[in-house]
Amino acid sequence: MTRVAVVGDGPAAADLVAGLQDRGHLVQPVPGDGLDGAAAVAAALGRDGSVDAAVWGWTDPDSTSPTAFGDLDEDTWTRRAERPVRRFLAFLQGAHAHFGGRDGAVVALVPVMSMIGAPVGLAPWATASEAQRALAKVAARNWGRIGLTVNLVAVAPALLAPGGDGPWQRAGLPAPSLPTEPSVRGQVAGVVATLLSPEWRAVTGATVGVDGGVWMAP
Amino acid sequence: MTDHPTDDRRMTDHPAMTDRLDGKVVLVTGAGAGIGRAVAVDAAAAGASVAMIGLSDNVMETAAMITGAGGQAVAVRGDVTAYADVAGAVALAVERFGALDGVVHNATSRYSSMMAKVETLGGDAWDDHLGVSLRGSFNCARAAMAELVRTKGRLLLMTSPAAMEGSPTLPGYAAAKGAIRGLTKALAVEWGPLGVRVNALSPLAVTPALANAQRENPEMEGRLRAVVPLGRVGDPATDIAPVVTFLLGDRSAYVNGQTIVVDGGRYTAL
Repeated sequence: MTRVAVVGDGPAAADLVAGLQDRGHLVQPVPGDGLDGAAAVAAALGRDGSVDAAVWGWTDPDSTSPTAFGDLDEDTWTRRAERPVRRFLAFLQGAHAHFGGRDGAVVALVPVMSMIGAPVGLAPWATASEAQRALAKVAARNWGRIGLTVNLVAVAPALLAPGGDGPWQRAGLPAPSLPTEPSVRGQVAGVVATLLSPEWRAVTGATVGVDGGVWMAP
Repeated sequence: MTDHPTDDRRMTDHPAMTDRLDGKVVLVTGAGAGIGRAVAVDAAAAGASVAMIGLSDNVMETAAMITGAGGQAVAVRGDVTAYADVAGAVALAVERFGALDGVVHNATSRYSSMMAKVETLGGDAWDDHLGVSLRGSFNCARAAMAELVRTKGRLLLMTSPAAMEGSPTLPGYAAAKGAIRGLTKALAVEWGPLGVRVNALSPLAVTPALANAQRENPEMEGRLRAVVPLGRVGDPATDIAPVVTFLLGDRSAYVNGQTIVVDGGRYTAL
């Protein structure tokens, strides 16, 4: 059994918590809203003692509101494109402080659209997500030597913005290759759990697509 | 006549296209030195009228170089993190030259080559990375959108392998340059139906920032040469700028949403 902290709010985070619990992990939910700054993250992760893994399942709900680029003002851009990057950096920094030089695992969920082009209106979310992926890779390169892995799981945007009004996929993409669309509690949580397992401790800096086979890396 | 690309007439009857930018107007940010200056000079040499915005008087020197060689150029001091400054540069380009066909956002943070760690990144450096690269991209796109739609123009943003491979020592730079790739693809999808092409370019060249880094770390130059299959670090004028000119011109009209890596073959993972 692994102790896992899951940062996030709403149905996606709840399903991730449930999915990891289904697989025998002891899961500590950490509300993402209002979690501001590395010290706050570190404190929240350590609330019930040390954890073995920290999972970022937080999506700024503001970022998932489609707005045509021409209608974005600076304030909206800052909230949707820059604030999530700053908060993800704080999450990484807080996780690093929590682990304190011991090994562990960090996993983050990102929308797959950031790599394949966002549908109209979601440029800020895609922008923030690619910054988060870059930061995760930098962290992976630096923290591997202490056995702290950092990986990403790319999922259909709709899974991270349940109840939103989309559209969540740009036109012209291939159809999903698999007949069943992944769910957070099912396949996504399963892949996160796999990334936490001993057999996968040699994998770091990777982005694993769990989108039913829409995105295939070049 | 069919649409098949090997149809003889399709191969021979298309209008002559060249890498010339005659009649086009291009705005270049960070044009006071390095790649930005080289891009501005090359675009002007290809026939474009060039507007420039930069933090220092160096951008005026670039304009003087262009006009001294018989080209058309105008420059204004300004900060790309300030929307009003970028909008002013766009307005200046349109007022002086009548249109805007392309924007190259080349300006990058003065902290670009400053080494840092993820766990301690913050403060002015972090703010500057997000400000110059990311908000600067937003400001350029927002300010130029109406003109680029009208001219079916080009937006070119500068990214870096630091983002794609996760530079271990440049977390702020990597994050900002990664963000640019996400924005590039999203805007390519959103603006493509409007006729605007949006691409990113990932250069490796001897820029002032890289030169500074090499001064601080003299072994860097040799290490870089060793990892570039072509055996040298690129030259802004002869290796990078011509590719930018190509991406601004008619011959690249079907290139959209791409990251063009111009680094002598160092990064081949795309």
